[in-house]
Parts: sequence; C-alpha cells; structure tokens
Amino acid sequence: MPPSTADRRDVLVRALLAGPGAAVATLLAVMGLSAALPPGPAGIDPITIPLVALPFIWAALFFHACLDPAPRRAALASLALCAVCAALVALRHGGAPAAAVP
Amino acid sequence: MIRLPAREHRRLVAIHGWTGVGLGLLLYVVVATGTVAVLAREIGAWSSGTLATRAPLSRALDAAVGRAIVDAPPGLRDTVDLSAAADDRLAVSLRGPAGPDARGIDLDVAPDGAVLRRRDGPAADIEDADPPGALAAFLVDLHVRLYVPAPWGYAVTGVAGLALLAAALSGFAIHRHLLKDIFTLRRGARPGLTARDRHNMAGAWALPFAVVLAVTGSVFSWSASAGFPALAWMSYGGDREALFAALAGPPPPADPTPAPRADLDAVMADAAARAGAAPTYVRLARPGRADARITVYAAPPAGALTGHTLVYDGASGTLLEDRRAFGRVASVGGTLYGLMAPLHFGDFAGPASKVAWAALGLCSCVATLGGIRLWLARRDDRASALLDRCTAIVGLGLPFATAGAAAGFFAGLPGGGGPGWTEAGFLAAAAAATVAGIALPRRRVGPALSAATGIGLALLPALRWAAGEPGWGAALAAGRLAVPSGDVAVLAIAAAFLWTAAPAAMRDRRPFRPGRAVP
Repeated sequence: MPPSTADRRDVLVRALLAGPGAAVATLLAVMGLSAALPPGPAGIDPITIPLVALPFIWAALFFHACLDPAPRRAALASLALCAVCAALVALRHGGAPAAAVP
Repeated sequence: MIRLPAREHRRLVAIHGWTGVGLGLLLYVVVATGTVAVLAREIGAWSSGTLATRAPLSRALDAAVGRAIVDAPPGLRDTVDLSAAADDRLAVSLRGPAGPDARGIDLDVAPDGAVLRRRDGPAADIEDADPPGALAAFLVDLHVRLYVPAPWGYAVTGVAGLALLAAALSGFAIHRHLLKDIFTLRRGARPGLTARDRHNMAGAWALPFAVVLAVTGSVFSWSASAGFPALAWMSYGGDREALFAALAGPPPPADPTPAPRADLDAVMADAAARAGAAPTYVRLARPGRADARITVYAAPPAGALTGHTLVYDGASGTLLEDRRAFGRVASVGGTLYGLMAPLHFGDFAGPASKVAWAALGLCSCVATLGGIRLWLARRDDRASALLDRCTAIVGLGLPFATAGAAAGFFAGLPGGGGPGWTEAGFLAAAAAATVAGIALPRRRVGPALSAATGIGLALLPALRWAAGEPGWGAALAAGRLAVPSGDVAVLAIAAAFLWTAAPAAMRDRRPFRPGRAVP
C-alpha cells in the first residue's frame, strides 16, 4: 500500500527534527548547559562538561525525534529545550561574564 | 537486546540501515584510518628506522635548549616547546607571540646535541614538516580531519562520529541475540546467511568499543569545529585564547625582569620522579624572565588513565602545581574531559590496549562494509549497483592508498623526504584504485584491489631497505624490535590480502547482478 500524505508528512517532520533540528538544539543545549553550570573548583566545568555531554544530548534528541509515536510532541519537546537554553544564553550575555578562573 | 514494540523496532532497523548506507563509507574511512592511527607511534618507529635507545626527553636537555634560545632572535623566545621527533631526535619549537602572523624556528636536535635541521619562517609554514615522521603524521591527520581544511574536516569526522553512535545504539537495540551473535558464524551456510553472521559477529564484538569511540571522537571533533568557538563566545567574548588559558591554567602576572633560567635537567628529573612516568612534552614560557614557567606533561603512570602535568617556576625551578587533569585543580569536568584521550587512543594499558583497540577497529570496519553489502543484497536497481561498486573501490582502495602513502614516503627518503612524498603516494594510489574500480568488471574489482594491496605491502620492507633504512641485523644489534616486527607485521597483512584475493577471484566468476550480495 503506498504511503499516505499524512505518513509522508510524518517522515518529513521526523527527518527535519532528527537532522538539522537535533543539530541546532544540541548546539543551543551545549551553550545553555555552559550558562547554567557553576564554574567548579577549577573554573572549567562550564567548558568541559557541555563538550563531553554533546554526543549524549544529540543522541537523545535524535532517537526521540525518530521514535516518539507523535512527531508533534517530539517537536514541542525540542522547541521547549531550545527556548530554555536560548533564555539561559540571553541571561548570560545580559549579565556578568562567567566561568571565572580561580 | 531491548524488547520494543514492532513499530519502534522497524524504525530502529531503518535508522541502522540508512545510517550505515548514507554515511557508511565515510564511517568506514574514519574508523579504518583510526585503526591505523592507533599504532602511529609504532609505525613512526618502524618507518623512521630509529636505532637510538634513549627517548629524547630523558636525555640531558639543558645545554642544547640553552643554545637554541640564545641563538634565536629575542622576538622568537616567547615559548619553547620540546617533544620527541622521529629517529630519536629532539624537536625544539621556538615561537614569538601568538597570532595569525606568528613566526618561529623549528630545530631537529640529534642525540649528541648537533642541530640536524633548522626551519624558520611563519609558524603555519614550518609546522608539521618533519621528514622522518611524515608517514605517522600523515596517517594521524588523515584520520583526524581526512585532509579537509579545518574546521570543516573536524565537522566531517564529527558527523561520522555521530553516525557511528546512531548505528551502534540502534544496532544494540535491534539485535535479538547479541550474546549468541558473538560466537555464531555458519561457514557452510548459503552466502547471504554467512555474510549476515559475519556482520552480526563483528558488530557485536565491536559494539561497546564503537560507542566509546563514537562518543570520544565526537567530543574531539565537535570541540574543535563548533564547541570551542561557541563556548568561547559564551564565556570569554569570543576570545579562544582566554578559553584555552582557563583549561591550561592562566599565565602569571607579567614580569619582564631578566632572570636566570632554572636548570632544565633538574626540573625534568624531578618531574619524572613525581609523575612516575616519562615526560612526553615540555613547554618553556618566557624563558630568561622572572615570570618564566616550565610545564612538563607526563605519560600516565602504570595503572592510571591520565598523566601528571607539572608546572615549575622557570627561574627558580620550584614546583608550583601538580595537576592530574584539565584545570589547575581536580574537578568533575576536568576529569571527564581528561578521560576522552586515553579512551579514544587506547593507550591506557600500553601495547596490549592499543592492539585491542586496533582489533576492535578492524571489527568495526568489517561490520560497516558487511552491513552496506547486506543492505545492497536486498535491492535490485542501478543506484544499488553504483553503491556496490563504490563500496568495493573505497573498501579496498583505502588500504591500497595507505600502502601507496608508505611507498611514497620511502621513495622520497633518499632525497630528504617530507610530507609531500607521502601525500603524493597516497593520492596516486587512490587515483589508480578509482580508475581500476571504474574500468574493471565489477566482479574483478575486489580481487584486483586486494591483490594490488597485498603486492604493494609486500614490497614495503624492500623499499624501506632500499631507501637506506637499517636492516634487521643492525636493528636487532641495537636492540630495536620496531624495525623487524614492523616488517613482519606488514608482510603478514600483505599475505592476508593476497590470501583473500585468490579465492575471491575464483569465486566471483559469475556476473554481478544487483539484488544479489557480492561476497
């Protein structure tokens, strides 16, 4: 049976979410995590922890976009993550510089 | 395996297949070059034919380094980096203030202190031009960024890392009998079943390794291409030097007052004793000034994953800091980031872990190429036939081109050598493999490239000897096993390629039909 229009749209939304969507959301999440983390005793946790977390964040977003039964819900979750992280980045750049080295 | 509803299982199978088909060849190139790059140090010792037995950073350095600093113009004494170069020489790099127009001097210092080679000019032009170490450096660079200019090369290998992660995690979820697959290979079964067993077996063995490799490789590639610029913008107004200073520890307050240099040999002896392992890299910052610093990076001691970084006062020789990871003091982030390198390079337990990493890398290559062919076996169209031919060209053309790089390296040695010869050898062999792959009937491509790779590898020990490198007698007399063991390993790999070429030539006499797996 040929795929219906709804099925095609479903595949397109998932492809956009899992491809460019996951890439943009991962970058924003890394920056948001950097803004949210305390410097730590060496002052480098906001640099190193987001970088180590990057592949895990991408994998979570990628597989969620592919496997969630409702692609719209996956899109909303990604958008919410992006909004929170963008807000954290905006707050950082509106305030004092962080990651001060002791 | 994870028990999943049928729909999610189907989607994961699709992710596994399309990730492998869409990015499989890129993934194969990155993993295969990484498998070779794991052994870069051993390949460097073999190809450079070094016979000296004492590592350059364990020798007396102070006099040679002092001469290099005095001979350099004052504007090029901002940093002095010391590292081991091929052929047991000491590499001394003097640099002026950092920046796009930075200039410098690179010296190769022989074990007796004589300067064998001097290169000066813009820093970007003189770096990575070490003739005896060109083969090992080429193989590492090929893996790290596929010879694509930075930062795009790092992004390409980063995409391959994420593709490997997706393929490994989806493979873990969809394989129904993962433990059973590790030991199942039905040789007498029909070809399709044997091919599937081989893919499952190689994939199952390599699965944990693939996840580790994908995570650590992605961290490195995406840090270099996007992570560091983004986080420098976040925290340091885009100043990447400030970000790296935070990772390495900030410089002391500037004090240009002239001061005597600390005895480098005493510092090195103290560092080796404290670190419990040999130093691998030394940086002298602002030598001859009151604010001078000497930073000694040491290999991990026995039983540890990360090594010490020791910072000394460059004037008094007093130890200031003893770090075990990134940052000035221990932290979660520094420790996690510090674990990435040993887990990726597989050098945490010496040669044993490196051999294990190379073997698991080989399993990943087998799983990747086998997976693509399994996917092709179920399809019957022109695009599949084209991808099948590309898979044969890339799959066997890459080992052939690597053999060509080594042949180019040895061919250039009598005339002084250098990276150009190695690159030319690789490109010429890659072009020949591509032309042969297009011109030959499909059933002949695999056996022809296998045979050519085997013959090329078998000729390498003779080429090495003809280039004036030491023979087995001289190497064994000097106690250097790298030369004969390297020759034996290359000959063994050559025999394996020739062995696979012969039966494949006999087996593949029937014409290729899309839709039937090519063994």
